[in-house]
Amino acid sequence: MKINLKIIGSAFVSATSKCEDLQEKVLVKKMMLRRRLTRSSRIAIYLASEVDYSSQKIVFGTAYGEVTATADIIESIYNKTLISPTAFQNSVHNTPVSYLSMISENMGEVTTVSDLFDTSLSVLKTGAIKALKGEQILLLNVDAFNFKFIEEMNRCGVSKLESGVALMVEVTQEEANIFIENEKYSDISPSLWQMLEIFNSAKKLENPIVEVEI
Amino acid sequence: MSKTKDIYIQQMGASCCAGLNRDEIFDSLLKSKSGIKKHEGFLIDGTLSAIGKIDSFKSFETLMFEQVDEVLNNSSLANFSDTFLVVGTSVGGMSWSEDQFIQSGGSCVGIDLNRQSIYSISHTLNQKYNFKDSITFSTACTSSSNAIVFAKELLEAGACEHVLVVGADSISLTTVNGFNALGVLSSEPSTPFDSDRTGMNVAEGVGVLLLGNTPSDIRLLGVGCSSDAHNITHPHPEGNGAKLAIQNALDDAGIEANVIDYINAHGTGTIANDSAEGRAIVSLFPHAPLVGSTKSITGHTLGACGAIELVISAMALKKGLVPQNFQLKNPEILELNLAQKNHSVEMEFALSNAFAFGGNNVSIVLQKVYDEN
Repeated sequence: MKINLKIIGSAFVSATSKCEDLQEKVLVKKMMLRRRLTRSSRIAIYLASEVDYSSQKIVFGTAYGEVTATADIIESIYNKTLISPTAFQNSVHNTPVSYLSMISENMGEVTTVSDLFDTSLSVLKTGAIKALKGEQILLLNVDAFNFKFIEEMNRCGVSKLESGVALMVEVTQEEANIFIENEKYSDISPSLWQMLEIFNSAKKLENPIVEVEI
Repeated sequence: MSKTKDIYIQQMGASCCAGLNRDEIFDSLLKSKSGIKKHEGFLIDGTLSAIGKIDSFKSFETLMFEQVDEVLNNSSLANFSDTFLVVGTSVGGMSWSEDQFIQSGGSCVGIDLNRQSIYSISHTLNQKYNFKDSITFSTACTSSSNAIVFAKELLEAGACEHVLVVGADSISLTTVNGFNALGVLSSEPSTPFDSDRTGMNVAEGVGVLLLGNTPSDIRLLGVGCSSDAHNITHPHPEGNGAKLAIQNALDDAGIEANVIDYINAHGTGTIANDSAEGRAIVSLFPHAPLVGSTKSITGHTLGACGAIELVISAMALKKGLVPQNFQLKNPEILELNLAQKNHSVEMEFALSNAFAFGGNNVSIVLQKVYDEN
C-alpha cells in the first residue's frame, strides 16, 4: 500500500565531530536535566524545536542507539569498575525521545524503531501507518556515534559522526511530488539516507508530499 | 473460516526460565515453580545474582527459532510473502558483542553490526523466512508491547494479511549490572506488590504471536500508549502515565473499565513501579478485578515481557485460570485484588500492562471469544 505524507516542517543537522549551537540552554531550562542529556538527546530536542514540535506523537529512529553510554558500561564491566547509573539509564534506544517528552510535557505516544541501515525507512513506514489516524506525527532520525571506539567500528567511512533529520508530517490525499529513490550520501550514516533525501527534496518544493510504500 | 476486520491471535508461543514452551510456563505459574535461580559470573562484584536464565544447552537463538518455527508451522500459511515481521527487543545482539569485546581484550574490531545491533533479531529471522517486510521496535521494557501496537495498526490499515510479532531479549552483562547499579536487583525471586518487596530479577525470554483477521478464540481488542513525561527512570508516583495508557487501551477497545476481569500487571517488584501501577489500577478499576504479576516466576524479560505476558494473558482467558502471585505475603495496596491463590473463573476481558524507562507505557486488551453455539 502507498501512503502520501505532507511535509509540514523539516530540519537537518550534522557535524564531523559535534553539532554546535543546539540551543540547549534555551530549550532545556533545568540545569540538572540538561547535564544528563546524551548527544542524541540534544540533537533530537533541537530538531524538534526547528519543526515547531508541541505535543504530537513521535516516531524516532536510531541505528546505533546510545553508543557512548553503552561503551562506558561495557568498559566498566571489562575493567570491573563501578557502572554509572546515569550511563545505564541513558543507554536505551528511546532515551532521546524520553527526554523530549519530559521537556515538552507530552504524555502522548512516543515510539522508537531501529533497523540498522534501513532505520530511516522504518521511521517513515511506521510514521505513515500511525498518521492514518489523522494526526500530525513527528518523525525523528538521529545517530550520534562520536565515541571512543569509533575508529574501530566506522567501516563505512562516514565522516559526519553526528547527524539528525526531523520531518513533521500528516497524511494527505494530494498527489505526491517526492518519491524515494534511495540516494546515497557517503558522509552521512546510511541509517538516515531516506529521511535526508526527503529533507533535501522538500526544501525545493512549495508543497512537498512524499509517497511512502509499505 | 471467514475473515473479519477484527484482529485475532492466530498462533502463539513463548519460552523463558519458567518453561521452554507456553504450556510449561503456564504450568509453572499455576504450580508456583519460579525459574529464578542464583547464578555466578554475571555481577562484576563477584556476588550471586538472582536472574531468570533459561536452563537449556541450546543457544538463545535456537530457542527463539523453535518458538517461531512452532508458531509458523501451526499456522495455515504456505509462505510469508504477505506476513510482516515486527520485532520488539531492548538489547538485540548485546550479549554476543559483550563476548566479542571481552574475549578480544577490550576491542571492538571483531564486532559485526548485523549481529550486535538491535536489528540482529529481525536480520536473523528474515534470512530464514523471507517475510514481506520487517520493523524492529526498541523502547526498553515496552519494546514488544509497542511491536504489538504497531502490528494491530498494520492489520487495521490493510497493509498485510498477517503480522508475526517476536519479542526477544537474552540475558546480558549490561542489563544485569546496569539494573544492579540502579539498586533495583533483588537477591531472591521478586515479590511484586508486596510491602516487603526487594526489587526485580533480570531474565531472558521469547514471546511470539501471529496476528491476523481469521477469527479465533482470542481477539486483540484494544491498545493504548502514553508517556509519563516525568522522569527518565522513575514512573510518575500516582501512575498518571500508566492510567493514560490503560484508558487509551480501553477506549480503543470500546469497553468500560468495569468489564475487565483480569489484569496482568507489569509488576516488576521494584518499589517505584509497583506503587505507581497499583495506584493507577485502583483509581481506574473500582470493581477490583483480579490482578497478578507473573514476573516472580518468569523474571523480567525486559523487551520481551510484553509479548510473553500477552501470551500468558491469552492462556489465562482460554483456560479460565488466573495464576496466584508467588510468595505474596503482605500486599502493600489493600484495595488491589491480588490473586493469592489460583482462581478458576470464567472471564471475557483481560488487560496486560508494560512500562519502561523514560516513562514509556503500553496497555493491551484481549477478549475471549465464546462460541455462540
